[in-house]
Amino acid sequence: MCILIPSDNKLNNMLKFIYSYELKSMLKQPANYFYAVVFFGIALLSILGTGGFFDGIPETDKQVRLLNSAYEINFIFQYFNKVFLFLLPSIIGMVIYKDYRSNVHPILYSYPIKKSDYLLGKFLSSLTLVFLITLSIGIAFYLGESILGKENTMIGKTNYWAYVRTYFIFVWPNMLAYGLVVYVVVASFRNIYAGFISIILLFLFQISIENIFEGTPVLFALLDPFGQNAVAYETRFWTISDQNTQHIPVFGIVLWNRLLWIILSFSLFGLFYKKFQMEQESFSLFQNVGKTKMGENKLAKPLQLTKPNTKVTTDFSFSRQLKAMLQLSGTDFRFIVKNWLFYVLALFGLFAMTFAMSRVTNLADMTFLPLTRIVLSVPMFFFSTVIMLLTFIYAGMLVHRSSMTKTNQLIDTTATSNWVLLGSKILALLHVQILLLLILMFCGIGLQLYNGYYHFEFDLYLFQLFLITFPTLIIWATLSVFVHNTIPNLYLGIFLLLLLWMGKDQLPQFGIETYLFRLNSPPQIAYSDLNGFGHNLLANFIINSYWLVFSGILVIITYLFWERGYLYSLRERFQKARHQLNGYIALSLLLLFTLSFLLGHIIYKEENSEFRNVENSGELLQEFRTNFGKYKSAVQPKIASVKLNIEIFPESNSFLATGHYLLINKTPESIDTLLIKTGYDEITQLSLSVPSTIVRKDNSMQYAVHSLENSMVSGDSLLMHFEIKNKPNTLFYQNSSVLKNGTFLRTDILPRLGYFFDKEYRQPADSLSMYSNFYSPDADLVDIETVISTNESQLAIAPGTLHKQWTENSRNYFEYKTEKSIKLAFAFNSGNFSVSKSNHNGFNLEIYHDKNHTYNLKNMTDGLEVSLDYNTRFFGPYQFAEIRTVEFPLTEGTYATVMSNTIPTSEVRFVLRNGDAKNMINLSFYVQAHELTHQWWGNQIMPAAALGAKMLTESITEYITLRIYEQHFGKEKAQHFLSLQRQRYLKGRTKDAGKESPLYLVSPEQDYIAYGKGAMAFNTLQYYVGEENLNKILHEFLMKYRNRTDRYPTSLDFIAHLKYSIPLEFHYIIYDMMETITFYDNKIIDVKELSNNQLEVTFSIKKMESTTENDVVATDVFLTFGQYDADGNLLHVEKVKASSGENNISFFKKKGATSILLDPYLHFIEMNIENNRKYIVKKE
Amino acid sequence: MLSIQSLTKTYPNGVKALDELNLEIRPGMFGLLGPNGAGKSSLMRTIATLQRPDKGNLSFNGIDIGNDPMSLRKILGYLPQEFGVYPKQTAETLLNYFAILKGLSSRKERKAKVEEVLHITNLLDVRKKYVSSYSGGMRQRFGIAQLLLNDPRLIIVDEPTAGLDPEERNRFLNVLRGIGTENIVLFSTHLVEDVKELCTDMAIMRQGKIHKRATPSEAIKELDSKVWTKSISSTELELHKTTFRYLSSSFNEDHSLSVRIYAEDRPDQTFIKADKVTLEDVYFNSLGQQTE
Repeated sequence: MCILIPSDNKLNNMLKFIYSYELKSMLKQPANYFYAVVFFGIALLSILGTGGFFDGIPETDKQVRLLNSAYEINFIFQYFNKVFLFLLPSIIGMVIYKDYRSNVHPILYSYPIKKSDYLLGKFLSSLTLVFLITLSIGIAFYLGESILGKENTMIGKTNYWAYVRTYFIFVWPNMLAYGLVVYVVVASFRNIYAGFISIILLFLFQISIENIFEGTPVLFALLDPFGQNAVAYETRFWTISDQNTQHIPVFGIVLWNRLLWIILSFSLFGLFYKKFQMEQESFSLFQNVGKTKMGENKLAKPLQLTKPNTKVTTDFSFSRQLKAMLQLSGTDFRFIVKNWLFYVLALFGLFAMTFAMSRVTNLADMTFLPLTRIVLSVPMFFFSTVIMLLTFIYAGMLVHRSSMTKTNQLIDTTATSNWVLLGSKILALLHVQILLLLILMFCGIGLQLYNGYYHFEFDLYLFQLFLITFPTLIIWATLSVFVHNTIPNLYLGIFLLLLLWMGKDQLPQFGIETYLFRLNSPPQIAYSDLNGFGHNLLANFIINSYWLVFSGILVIITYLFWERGYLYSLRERFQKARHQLNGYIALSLLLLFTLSFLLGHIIYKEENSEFRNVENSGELLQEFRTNFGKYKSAVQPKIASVKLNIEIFPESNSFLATGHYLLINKTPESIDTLLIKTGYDEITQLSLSVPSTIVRKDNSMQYAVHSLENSMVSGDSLLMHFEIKNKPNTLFYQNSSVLKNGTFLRTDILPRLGYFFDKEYRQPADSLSMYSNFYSPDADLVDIETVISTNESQLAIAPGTLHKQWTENSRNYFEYKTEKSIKLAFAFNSGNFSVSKSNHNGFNLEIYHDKNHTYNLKNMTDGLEVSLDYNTRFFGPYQFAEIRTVEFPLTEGTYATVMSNTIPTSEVRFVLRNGDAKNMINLSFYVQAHELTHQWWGNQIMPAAALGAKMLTESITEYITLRIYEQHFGKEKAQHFLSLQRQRYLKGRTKDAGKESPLYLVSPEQDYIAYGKGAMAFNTLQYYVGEENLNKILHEFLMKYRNRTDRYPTSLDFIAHLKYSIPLEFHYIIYDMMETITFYDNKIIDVKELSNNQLEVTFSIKKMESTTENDVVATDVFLTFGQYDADGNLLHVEKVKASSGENNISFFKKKGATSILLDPYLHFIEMNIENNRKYIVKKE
Repeated sequence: MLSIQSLTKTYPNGVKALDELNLEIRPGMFGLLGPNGAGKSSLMRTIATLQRPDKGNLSFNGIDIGNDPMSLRKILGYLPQEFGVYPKQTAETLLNYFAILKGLSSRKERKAKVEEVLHITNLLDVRKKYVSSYSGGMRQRFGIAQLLLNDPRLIIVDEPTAGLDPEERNRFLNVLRGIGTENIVLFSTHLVEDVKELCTDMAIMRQGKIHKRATPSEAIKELDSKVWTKSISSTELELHKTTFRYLSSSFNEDHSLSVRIYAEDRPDQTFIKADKVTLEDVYFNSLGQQTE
């Protein structure tokens, strides 16, 4: 395209002229409208979809996240922002690249155009267009907001400022900064792909710094190229109501972040501007980068006439063509790979990956050993996404390469078949993908070596990379080639592919959930060292095969429509395609269609199988409530003892359980109706020892109401017999919990009594709550006898003590029996376990684990032993003869829990990396210590079924575990753990969609309060009351309620006991941290060093009630000051008393102290602790 | 023999590039002359299997080009009017690449042939240089080198001399001359000189049709004693153009013009018979007939 020089030659108007000329010519291109319309459509659909325009908003008592709050608008626009970035090469890169491509630049550069006019005119015009396109989502959002209307509960007041800020602070500055980068890159290298690749590099950079600066989020926030994490950092403690009402902070980190990137991009542009010459040959921005090997035009020797006399044979037989395809693909492969752009990309990818991997293995608070599955899983998603994006770009590059360089006429007139050309390009793409996957693999192995981990699982690497990931990449490769061959516009092609990629994950939102239409989306599978890829592997293979067949069809269509020669109309293209369609092709197409139909049929059948898992969808539950709600308060007998015979068949993923309950009517009333719920995923047959009839039944909820012919009077008992087997697994739904290895069956397979479907808990003040067990409303304490059997290679574990063990019909049998009654929470495990046994003070410690998972056995045993000692010392004897820790696969959960004398522990807890570094937590130790502590706080004492129950179990347990941890690892590490508990609380409350409760009313799902705040509360109390004293108080409480089933304790009972036992001056701690939601904002205002070696500290105390942010008065609160030396060592702690407002205090300065920290032990709950430290400055 | 019957092609924008064109070409150098836009490239692209005609038959030695393009491609050598190559590739690499595409499956043969064509086109010295950095003449010679790789029986060269300096053009024509005697070399140009120097047979094309078909010597003979010349001042040119069947004019050193016109007999005393009838006269005469 050529610029016409204005006749009057007013050079000062040149900038304006170029600007408007370029803008006008871009506005004539349909592709640009297409981008805008697509963004508009997606944004509108997404806001309408989320706002329930299509399917209504589900009713909820939870706090609703407003769709049009400043926070949400910013969040969603940031997401779109990433897609906008891909417009930059197509629009801003193109505006300068087209001059090179059409070779118009030598002419243009000879005109009297100033460099500044040329560069700026072009840049600004394309930037304007990008700005205009980005506006489309703002308009769509505003429109969506209006359509949904103010009555919609998810729509708040229209927030015009939020739009303005988002555009002016994030979207447009990003477009400006990275538009400049892309512009500079494309103009410097005269290569449009370099523009796309620089965008991918930005993403890689973001990932890298996220992982490098995981420990210092401020740096990460500052360096994030898109500003996204600067916002995340500033709003990290925002609760949902903050998110709904607050404006995104503009100052602080966000501003610095924006400035940094704008300045960087302007500097790059400045450098480029200085170097840029309006010359025909490309210049180099940096020395020696991108220099071309120039052919010297020396005069050739005088010509001697020669005739061709070497006879050649040309061979286009199938085998030769196949060979040619391989050779050509080699050429294409080298073309992609032997390019410094690719090197840079691979190098950056490698960095990003290494950081991502090492984050999980080295840096974070919870880190893992570099197991192959971990090394693969963490970067896999991210890296395969990068490979996919590259496939989109490189496919376009290969398909359009010959026409862009005008080599196509030479190639198209050779007798090489289309399938050879097409095949060579697909093969080259696959080759690049394989290379990148291998790089990933070697990077992983390198990381393992670096960490001294030598258990290499090459088979797992190869399996995961080439049988699970690679098929999806093949599908992307063929799809990319298809799209690029169909759409002549490279940028549009890339854009469409991005759209397909993002759109496929949105399909379920529009009600399309079948795998048949969800492009290239096989079910995710998780690998467990115990159970391998498990049940989903086959489904994954079948879905992948289905889409591979689909891509086979695409390849054939691409072949038929392969662009060769000149075609002037769509009709001509179709004519030619029809011409290409011969018998073989038709046959292969037919074959592929048949195959895809067959696979599709399998998928369809399995998806609609009668054994598919019915989710507890709201509708079903609603229906159930109306039908069965009247039974809500029906009194029920309690389960008193259980007898079970469980046969586990790992090979067929099935089990059969028979047995009975002894039910006793413990109420004073008589009972004539039994409400029985059986396992969702099981088929259960029941019979009662007394005559009864079923009066009502709900099959989807597995619920039945049995009417007894003769009612059970108080104290009566009956037997309930049952036979339970699992529903068979289907391809996509795993109904059976029985695994090939590592089966972990829980109580949910068994029948239960009562109405379970109300999640509402009673208030602790409600006297009814005291008579119901928090864990099981249908049982107090039970005895259980189990005969459990499994195959001959596995061990099986059930609650209680092992009484007998034998082998029969090549199956292993075990008989377990409880010596003491336990609460109704059972674990039944079976697996190929190695057992690590030890004895501690007469108790048997057994750890059943995978034979390779020996890394943390010592830590775990230590955790058990130290916990046993500590708890026995303060809270009395342990109630069983043995402690069994049993490993279960991560697919069953990543937690640990305690069930009778067993501590089922997820395999992830066995492969933790427990370093000695100050900031590393020995979680293997901690988890075992924690779970064992529950034997006292959770098993000996069982709270009432009321709000606040978890304060008695989890909060106290977390506190005790912290004490155990400190005793074993020292103050510093314990302090670090406490700081994590603080984070857990402050971050947890930002995600709570309900209402935050004070600790004493904590509801069961509010773990951030029970664990995080609970640990802090008891820790503060402990500091002032003293560890021995507090433990004594706890012990008294334990003794009062230990093993009682007649009266369960509530949090109010506990707080009353606490207040009774501790001095009045500390009651404010109970009030602040347990009874209310209170925040402090304390800070040191000034530190003066006085002449007599004294320090005078001025500080302020501010106490707030968080729900209203109201200041309240604090009087006589205790607080501490720590004196630190230059290396950060704590030298001395000063305990003082203070009240709201400004306070003044003097104390001796320790030798070497350089700073003062208010509240070094995190005794207060403060959002902002950055203003708690002050450096000591010598005052004159 | 290449035989073309009633070949027609109309582009979607309405331009009729080929209009019932008929032509038969025998082995030897065949020059296709015509002004820009005459349809030369369309014809050549159609023969080179790059586009399909709307109508008409094309055959070469029994190969039906329209329905069996692959068979023709096996023995085709084509140098398009404008072509590019992959950047940052040496001549040797690129030729090897094209040799693979042209079905030279034996590595040994490929190597020998690539060296030979480099030698023929005198690019042996620069075979390790990037073709994208070649000068225009070198690049055109590279174009010849690639078309020779498969020992083509039909060679199509579309306006290869456009933009070459005289020395480069000479060198290029020499290369062509060396290769085309037993095969058909179809050579399009708007430079009459090229045809004069090279071709054994020729046709003049205009508006999608073959306007004249003859060997150069026959054509010149036809005009023998029918070309007249005269010195005039430049102001008289328009008058001469309208009065006579004007062929061409050229400036003399004294800024007067020598005009050449066609006439069966000497038009008047001021004209003298041209020393020698040139192919150019044939060309302009042929084009001039059309406009009347």
